[in-house]
Amino acid sequence: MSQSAPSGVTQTGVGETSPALVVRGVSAGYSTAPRAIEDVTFSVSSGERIAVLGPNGAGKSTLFKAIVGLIDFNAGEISIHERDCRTSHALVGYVPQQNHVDWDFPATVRDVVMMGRLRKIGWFHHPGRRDRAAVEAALSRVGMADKGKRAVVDLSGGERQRVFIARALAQEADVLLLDEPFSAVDATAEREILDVLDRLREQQVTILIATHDLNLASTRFDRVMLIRRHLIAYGSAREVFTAENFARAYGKQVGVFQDGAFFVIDEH
Amino acid sequence: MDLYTLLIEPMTYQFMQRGLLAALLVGGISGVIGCFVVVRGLSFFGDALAHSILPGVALAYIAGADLFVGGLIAGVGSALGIGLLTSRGRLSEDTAIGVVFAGMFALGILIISTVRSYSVDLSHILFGHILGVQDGDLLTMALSGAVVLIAVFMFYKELVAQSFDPGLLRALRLPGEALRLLLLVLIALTIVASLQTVGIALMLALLVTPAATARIFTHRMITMILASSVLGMASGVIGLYLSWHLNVASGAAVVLTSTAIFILVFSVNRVTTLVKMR
Repeated sequence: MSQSAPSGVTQTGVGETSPALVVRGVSAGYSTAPRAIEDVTFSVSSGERIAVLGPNGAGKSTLFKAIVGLIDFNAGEISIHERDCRTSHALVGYVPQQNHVDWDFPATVRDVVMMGRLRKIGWFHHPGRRDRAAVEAALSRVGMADKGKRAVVDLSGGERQRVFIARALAQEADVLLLDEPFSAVDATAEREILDVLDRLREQQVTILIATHDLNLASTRFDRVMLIRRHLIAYGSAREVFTAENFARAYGKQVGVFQDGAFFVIDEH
Repeated sequence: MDLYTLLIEPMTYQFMQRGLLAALLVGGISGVIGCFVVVRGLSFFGDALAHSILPGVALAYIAGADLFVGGLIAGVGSALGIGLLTSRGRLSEDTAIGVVFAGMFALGILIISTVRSYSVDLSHILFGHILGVQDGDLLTMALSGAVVLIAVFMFYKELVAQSFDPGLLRALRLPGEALRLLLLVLIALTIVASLQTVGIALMLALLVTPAATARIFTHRMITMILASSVLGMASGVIGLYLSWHLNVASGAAVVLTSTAIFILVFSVNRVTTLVKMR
């Protein structure tokens, strides 16, 4: 089904679990483009994995930044586990694009994951036993338990993504937003990240991933979301991947769904 | 030359004792703050800030006020000015620094040019005069240093996280912007307190060189900071002795000592890396 009307529909998706994340009528942007996304409404159930698709500049990052609190939104509301996100940001973990930080920073894997505990530790305190335990637990959940002492500068692209995922887990977030985690990694790293995400799904962690990989989106996710400023479509890949939706999202590019694989024909 | 003439004799002079204390204080504190300057790529900011202190010092000189106070007002003012201009990406850091730096330095030169016969005091601001340090200056350095070290200690984990990933602090609803401004102010305070040792022109070296040297062989912020402050103090002391024995300018001797240590550590590191790779 396609859903673009701001009808406030809260689709609870599969199962009877309560929504982990509800976005209702949200518009947000920057001073240069105050409405990079407009009137976006959707909800995500606990443990669901959603692919967020759209052309460059469609507002995928803007949407994530609004949910996690990096930018203010000027209309609508966002709630996480039925609490206004403005008070419960700690429940959302954000994994930024890899080039977002300088990896030549003097820190170990453990140091970076501990940063996720910053708020929990509190001002003027030093990490305690609980914080160290949370860091170790987060590292094992992403399969990096034996690499805590490594310097971050020596990590591969996939390992860096997993460290950031661990940081979000150490923060005790159970909604994770990953901004294009596959864009700068090779196939092995992509598989490692997906394995981690599979494990997290079993633990009811809700995950939204911005990606350009339509094949991955159609095969490894519960639902996909197509945005271009507005929410164009949201549902299963079969429902969303129609020529009409793609024309609206990608303009002249046309998508073809064939034998389970997806192709985008670029007319340029 | 025996050990006495090499190490002890210079210290029989009170100006050398004061110089030694100043070198230790300034080297240690600049070493600590310098680590943040290096990991955040704020070299240009540090250099600009040192220069933008000039009008404050010049005005204080004309008014007969404390040069430290004048410098501090100009330094903190410039740091906050640059901080606010670049806040939320309004202006690129590079551009804001360039504009403020050039403007403030020109203002300083303008003010100085109105004084018919500005004495050596102002040239000491430009090139440093570690052997002219007075007890009052030492007290100022020690107090500024204490403020800087206490602030770094209290906000350590927040300052480090903010340096690595500012977005995380905003996501966690922590005041990352205030921490960034705090760091800029701490850099300004360090620079103003250190000016008398090496002067505006060479200040940047105290901030950058020991920290850059420490970065070569450390992989955690805490060890980098400790190593950098030890290197800063060592450069200060060795440089001071060299300037005594070779009869050369002390500020330049301190800076060149830390440069030499950097080159040494860098070369040793390159060689050991190459040997390991074979």
